[in-house]
Amino acid sequence: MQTNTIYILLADDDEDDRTFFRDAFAEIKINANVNVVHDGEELMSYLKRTDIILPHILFLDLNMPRKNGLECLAEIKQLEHLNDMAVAIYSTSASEKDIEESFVRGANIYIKKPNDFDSLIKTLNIATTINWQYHTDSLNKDTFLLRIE
Amino acid sequence: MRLFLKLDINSICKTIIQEQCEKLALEYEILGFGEVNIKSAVSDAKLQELSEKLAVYGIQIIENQKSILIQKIKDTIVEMVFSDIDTTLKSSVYLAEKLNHSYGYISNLFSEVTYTSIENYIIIQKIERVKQLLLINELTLTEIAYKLNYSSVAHLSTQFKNITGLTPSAFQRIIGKRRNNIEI
Amino acid sequence: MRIKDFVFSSPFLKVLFVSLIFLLLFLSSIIYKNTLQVSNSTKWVVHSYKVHLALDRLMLTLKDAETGQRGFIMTHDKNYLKPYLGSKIKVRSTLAQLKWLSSDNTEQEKNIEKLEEMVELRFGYLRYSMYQDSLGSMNKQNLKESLDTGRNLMDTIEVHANKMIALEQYYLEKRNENYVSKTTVTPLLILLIVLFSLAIFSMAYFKINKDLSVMEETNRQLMITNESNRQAEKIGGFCTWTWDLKTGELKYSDNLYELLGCEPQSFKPTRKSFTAFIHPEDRQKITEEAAALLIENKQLIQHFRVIRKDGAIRHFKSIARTIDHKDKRTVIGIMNDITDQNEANFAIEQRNFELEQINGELESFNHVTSHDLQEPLRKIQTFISRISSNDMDSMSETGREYIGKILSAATKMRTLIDDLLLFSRTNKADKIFEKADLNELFQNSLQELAQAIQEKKATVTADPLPELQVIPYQIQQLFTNLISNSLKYSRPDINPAITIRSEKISISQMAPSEAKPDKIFYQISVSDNGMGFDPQFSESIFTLFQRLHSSSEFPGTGIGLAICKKIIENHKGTIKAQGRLNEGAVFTFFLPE
Repeated sequence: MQTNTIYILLADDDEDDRTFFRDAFAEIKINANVNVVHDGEELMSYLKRTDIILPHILFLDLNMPRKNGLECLAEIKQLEHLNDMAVAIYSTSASEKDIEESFVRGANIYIKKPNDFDSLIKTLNIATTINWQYHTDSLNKDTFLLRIE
Repeated sequence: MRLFLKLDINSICKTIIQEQCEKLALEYEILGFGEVNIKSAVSDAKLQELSEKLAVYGIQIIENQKSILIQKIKDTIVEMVFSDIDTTLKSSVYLAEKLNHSYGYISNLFSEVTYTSIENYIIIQKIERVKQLLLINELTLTEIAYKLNYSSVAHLSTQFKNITGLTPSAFQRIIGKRRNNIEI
Repeated sequence: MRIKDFVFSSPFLKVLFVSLIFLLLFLSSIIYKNTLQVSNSTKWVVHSYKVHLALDRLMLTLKDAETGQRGFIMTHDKNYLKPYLGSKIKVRSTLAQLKWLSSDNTEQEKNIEKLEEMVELRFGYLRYSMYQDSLGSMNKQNLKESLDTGRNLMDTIEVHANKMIALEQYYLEKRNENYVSKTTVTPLLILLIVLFSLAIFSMAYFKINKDLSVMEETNRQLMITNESNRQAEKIGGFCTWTWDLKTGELKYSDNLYELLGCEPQSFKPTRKSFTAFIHPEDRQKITEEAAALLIENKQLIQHFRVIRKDGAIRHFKSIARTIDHKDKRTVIGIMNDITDQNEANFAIEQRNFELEQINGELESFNHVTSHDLQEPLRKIQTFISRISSNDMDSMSETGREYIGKILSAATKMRTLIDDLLLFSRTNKADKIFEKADLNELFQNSLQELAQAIQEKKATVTADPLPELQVIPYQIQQLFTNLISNSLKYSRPDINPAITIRSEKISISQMAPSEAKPDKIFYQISVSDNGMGFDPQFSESIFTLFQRLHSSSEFPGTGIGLAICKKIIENHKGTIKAQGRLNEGAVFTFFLPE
């Protein structure tokens, strides 16, 4: 099963964060295919394309220009073909309001961007593997909530 | 109107397998959760057809031996957690007995093939069960802790928090709100 | 109703009064009748004596006639015949008198008739004797016989007359008896009635007197009330009016005039005269609403403007309602001049609005700065962590030292920003209060601090805590902050012992200034055996950035307890700290039930 590739998509407008993200996945011992988009608009048009393999998990920054994370989340929940895709909010904010609102609107994972690289690797690893369990063992995605700080 | 269903995955799957096998006129026998013995000779084309039919329901025919064992381990764990069988028995002992392999072997194989350990997998499944029971809302957290053989509510809460990052009550509140939100 | 009340009730007194009048009338009639009887009996006595006298006179006349006749017969002197000759007329008149006197008495009438017969017979014999005498002495025998018979008849007459007198006497006595029996009862009756009347009169007097004093007292009270009303109106800046719907009569209190800028009672209170003061734009609305009040019979609250006599525009608030007493309906009203109040309210509102704006700006400034500071800081930290894990080996000694210093400075900044963010989020504007078990929140914070508790070998004991309406994660934060505070400022030589006590108290156990009265509070305290603090800092310890120790001794931002204070204030409670240097500290907070 390790041959199975995990498809990952990151939507973040910050270049450094995208770099950290890619670098972190390079350190994680899973077979991951990481794609990035730069903002909400780009994300939505990417997800509507028919020539792509849909990601298993989307890492979504809340604070983005043009279309913010929560707006994207709402749109994603309206699109039936994205039902199987897990959404992980990936944000600097750790406010209870943002966390609760994201979960209520249908996010599965809430990650507060860690302050050092090792924590980042650990966090992304946990998020991806647990999501993989949900994906492969058909656990109930409706009640899949994970908060990592 | 929104309905919330309490699903019995086991019997749903059984029914689907029965239906599909009968459609293809296969002689079969269901051996346990996730294991079917096809008695009649099966052509590759027919097997392919069955595989496609079952795939519609998210049921996969597992081909290699390791994968089969892994699936068996998972099924046994799920069965152990969800069917409320004697939980006082240590899970390692139970798994070794049930699968007829040493626990060390099972454990290593599991970690090797999946991205997690058996212990973690059991915890994840147990928390899944807790979530289910929390959302059915028939039992208190104390009763759930007792039912799933946790030493205390605190222990359950801690494990729940470790796995989900949320307290059980926060989980309950968020799912409740989410359901209301969708309804609106 | 009690007997006394009944006795003094006005219907009873009315009945009493009427019966009293009847009694007095009855009494007068009895006295009148009795007086009549007295004069009647006197009349009867006179009557009896008259009869007696008349009979005596009759007998005397008869005897005179007899004596005269005898004298004549013996002497033949004509002088002797005088009484005899006049007697007949005298007797006749006496008999007539007797007849008149006895006209109402049949028995006596019969006796008189009999007497008359006998008297006629007597005169017959007298005449006969005279005749025999005139015949001379040869008929001496006849004369004697005639005289004897006359003599006998005279005796019979006398007996008959005596009988009549006796009879008359008998009647008199009988009447007298009757009279006496009647008149002895009468005085007693009169006495009784007089006494009874006296009792009734004194009762009435007592009652009237009492009523009068009650009325006087009521009058006095009314006067006092009126006066205090007038004073209250003046001081309170309101006025009253009444409107009798039956007579259409309007009454204004003095202050109403003054509120309109006029001399008290300087114009006649009519609807028209008042309406003239109402601002023309409000007039129609007010009259329409007033008309509706009369139909619907409810309380009516109106706001309108008034143009005072001096031209100033004032805002009035009027509350009017109808009251029904028997069949009389009256509208009563109270009016306030609320202009000053309005202006003050407006000023406060304006102030509040400005304050809220400033507060909001401050909060969002705080939030945005700390949030936006996080981003670059996080990057600094992440880059440093990458350098320290990848490139440390190729660096010089000083380079490694500097990296270490940058790392610790960045960590410090991180803590400060996190704490500031936490502080800025600790408001209640959009926080939801919900019923939460404080035991659970407390356990959660213990779990959060489990590692530190273990490291410090601390013991934490707690009373059962209540279930309260709170912002759950803030209360959890409160417990976490207080317990971690106790863990941090423990004494190095003693294992920390932290005790949580909970008690339900009413406000009387607290100083009155600390909260509103009549409320139940939970007093929860967190006490430790740590370093404590100088009691002079028990107030300032809650101030933002206030620190009692240098950061080299105890690292910290001085925000933790400020957050605790803010959380408690969000819950409308109070928090206080008591400390003794090197003995321990007690943080006590009060949460309303």
